[in-house]
Amino acid sequence: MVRSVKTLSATFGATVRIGPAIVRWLTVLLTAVCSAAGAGLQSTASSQAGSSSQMGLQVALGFSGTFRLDHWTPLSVVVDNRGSAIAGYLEVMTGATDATGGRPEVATPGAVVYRQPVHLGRGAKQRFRFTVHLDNFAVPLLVRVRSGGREITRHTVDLRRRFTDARLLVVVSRDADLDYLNDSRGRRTRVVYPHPELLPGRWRGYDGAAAVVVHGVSLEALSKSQFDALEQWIEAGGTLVVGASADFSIVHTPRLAGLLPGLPAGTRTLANGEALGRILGEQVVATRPFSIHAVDRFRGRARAATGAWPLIVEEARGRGRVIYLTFDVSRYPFADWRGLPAMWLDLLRLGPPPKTGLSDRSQKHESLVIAAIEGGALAYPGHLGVVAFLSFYLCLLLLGYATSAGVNRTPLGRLIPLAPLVFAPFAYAVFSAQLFTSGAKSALVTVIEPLPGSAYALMDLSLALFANRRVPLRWRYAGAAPLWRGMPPAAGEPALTWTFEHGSTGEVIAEPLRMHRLHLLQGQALVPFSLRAQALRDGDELELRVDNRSGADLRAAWLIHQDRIFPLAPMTAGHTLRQRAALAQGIALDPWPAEQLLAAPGLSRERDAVAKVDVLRAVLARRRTGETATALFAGLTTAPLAAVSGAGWSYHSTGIVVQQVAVEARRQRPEEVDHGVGPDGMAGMATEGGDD
Amino acid sequence: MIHRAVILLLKQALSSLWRGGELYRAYFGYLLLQAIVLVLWWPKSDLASALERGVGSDVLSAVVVVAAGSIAYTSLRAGAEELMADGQHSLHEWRQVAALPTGWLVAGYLAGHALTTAHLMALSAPIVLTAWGVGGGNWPGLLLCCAGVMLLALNYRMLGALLYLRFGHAGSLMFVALRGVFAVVFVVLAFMFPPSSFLVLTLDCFASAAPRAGAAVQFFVVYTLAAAILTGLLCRAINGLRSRAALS
Repeated sequence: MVRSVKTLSATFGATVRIGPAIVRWLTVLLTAVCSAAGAGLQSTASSQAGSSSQMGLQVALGFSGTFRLDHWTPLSVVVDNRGSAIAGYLEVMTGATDATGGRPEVATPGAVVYRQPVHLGRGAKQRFRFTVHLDNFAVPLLVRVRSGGREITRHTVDLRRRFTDARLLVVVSRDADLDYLNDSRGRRTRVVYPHPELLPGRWRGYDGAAAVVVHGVSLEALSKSQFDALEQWIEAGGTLVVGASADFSIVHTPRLAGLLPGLPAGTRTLANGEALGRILGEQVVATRPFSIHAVDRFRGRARAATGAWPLIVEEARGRGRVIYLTFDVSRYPFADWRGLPAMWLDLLRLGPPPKTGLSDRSQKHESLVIAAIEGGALAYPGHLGVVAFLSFYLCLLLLGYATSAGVNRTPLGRLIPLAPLVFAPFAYAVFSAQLFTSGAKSALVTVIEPLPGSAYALMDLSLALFANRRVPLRWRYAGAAPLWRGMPPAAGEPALTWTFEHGSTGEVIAEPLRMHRLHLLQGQALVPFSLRAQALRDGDELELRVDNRSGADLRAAWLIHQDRIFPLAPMTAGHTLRQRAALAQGIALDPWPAEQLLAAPGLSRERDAVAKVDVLRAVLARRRTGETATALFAGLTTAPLAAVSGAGWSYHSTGIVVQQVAVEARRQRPEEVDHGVGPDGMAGMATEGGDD
Repeated sequence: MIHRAVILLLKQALSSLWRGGELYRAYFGYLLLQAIVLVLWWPKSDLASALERGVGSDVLSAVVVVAAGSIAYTSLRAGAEELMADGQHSLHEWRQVAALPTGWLVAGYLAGHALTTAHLMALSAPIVLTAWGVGGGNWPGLLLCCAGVMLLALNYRMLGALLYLRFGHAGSLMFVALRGVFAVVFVVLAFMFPPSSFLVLTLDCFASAAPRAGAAVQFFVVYTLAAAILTGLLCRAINGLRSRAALS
């Protein structure tokens, strides 16, 4: 390099004289520039190449790679970023395919995209949990990371080898073997043994599971969301079976201890299995002693016991149950016990599954939100107002023009040119901003059903989105994290692509935009909402007691029994209501008593009371049984999930609490409740309430 | 620097807004028509059944098209000087002012016309904005339509002025010619050559989920070219009349 510079200087030696020091400096400078340029080129190349190849995706679908078709299923994705820091989205796409079936694409009509934001530093690794609904195994599942509108990496999962139509029995154990339950006696059951790390992060992830069996492992390794999901799934109707194992301490770990109906004080040794055989219905061959967990105090009921020691304890939790087996099914003498399959089938209530064809799966129910829209939740302004406004405007113009001619202008005539300055903003403010806005609209009906004896309630959501102008259909919400499903489009209409994003707020996106079309979704979530209702029948009277521990006010409430509806007093949060009604004085439900219901004290103040009453009618049509032994409690409340207000969105929400109440016969009339006239003119009803 | 003639013509147009006259009385009739269209096109079924059918209300498009047609027709008649505001001088009178260069005269004439058109649009605004929410209005679309109406009105004004300069107030011939020109240009030509249709532009702005690429551009190119040709023809017609007057 030095020589070449010297040659260069020699070439121009006649005019340029470069000293050795300067040559050295120039050499250093050139070397530095070349190195920097080279390094720059290298780093650009590596970042371009690395963006796709330096990111790894590990995808785990379902339970041990098996999922139940047409059910929600868990999906775990570990993103391993070995390249530079990235901010983007992790997307899981179902039903996304192209014409050739080669590379699944997003723009496929009918595709569903589940999305979570991803922020990963250099060398960071993070697990993301999804709950996806899979109803088609022909199209591969696509998982990809996008950043800045560019796909960084993708991974496809062939679903054809992973699906099952059978119910899943999820066994979380190191050594229990329940394979004998696989397809036993035509019950279409499949036993799976997932790693605890891959258990669902949301309760709906257990949708395909008939039951979860925990044996010989604690639940302490589960993340909080995983444990909450398991607990909520039980409350929502799931069955958890915890089997005793040799390690006595496992059932004393905090999470299991909290779930179990009772805890063992120690172990008890049984000399032989003869007594057990009698109890369990099948002879237990045991020639040497064996031990069981000695549970002396427990909640729920003992399904089987030997003496004072229960063998199977069952406790109802919400709609579900927890079963504790105090003996070890994987060890002597039960490991080879012939009665074990029958015991499991009976315990898990694994009767023959209902036959469901594809036609049943795609059966379309009318969304509740239709009732809200038909009830005028979102309605066009009436003709009358338009005609009145136009008449006023045109009469004023006519008067101005008629009374003025040439230079002889009346004061009104002079003001006429300025009339649009007043009338145009007024027309916009009244007819467009207030009565019916231009843009995107949403209507949401939430039905909250408190689970019996639980602090949770099941929340069913019916959402309708539509737009009457070109605007992106992106609906943001907060307050709960439901799982959404787009309802199938009407016959002849092309399917949409739905995107469901879970981040700090949730987002539902429908693409492409179809103006003036109703986009319907169904959602479900489990929310903390505690409300207890009890009904007692005393001759011709009905007494209701409602403890509202939900934290939400019930602005209007009703009790529906047989073919009558009884308006109740509104209930604030924390309020306990006791109300008595003579059966004959309820309002007949046929014909639908809309007018009487609208006059109820809590409802008459509601802006869209008619829509709410129409929704109530639709809810009752679905939930009312008409049986004498049950009643239905219904109340109007504020839904825990609400839209995050966005520009151009108008929003209507109706929240209804419903709970089936068993009507028990009362033997003794309570003295603390007096007959008389209840508040707000409810004749024949006595009310007593108080904030506890 | 703007020529004094432009200021004078603008002042005249501005003062005519307060003076009123035949032009505004005629436009009141068209406002009535727009109001009737609004009421007739207002959704008759409720929202639920409209959504079930998947058909939105096209009341805004209907009102905007009728307003545009009204303004275009008014401009044609004003150009032909069938309709004039009180105290407004005719183009023939302005032409006779020898000190006014033709270019500036046409510029002032068109600037005054633009002011009148803006006022007519303002008079229609309450009716259009009543339909705004139900019809799914959007501001970019409205701005585009306003610009389209301006351009449309400019063309019709010059077309009317040319007919007026050519035929003068020729009674029934002029009456028939004006209506015939309007029917041919606004309706027939629009059907035969959709890029010139204001209806297409309006539907593209308000009733389409995905706007056609270049629909608005085509409309503006067609009418800008037409305006350029008509301006040239108008200047030529005024110069011709001036030279004939000078010769005589």
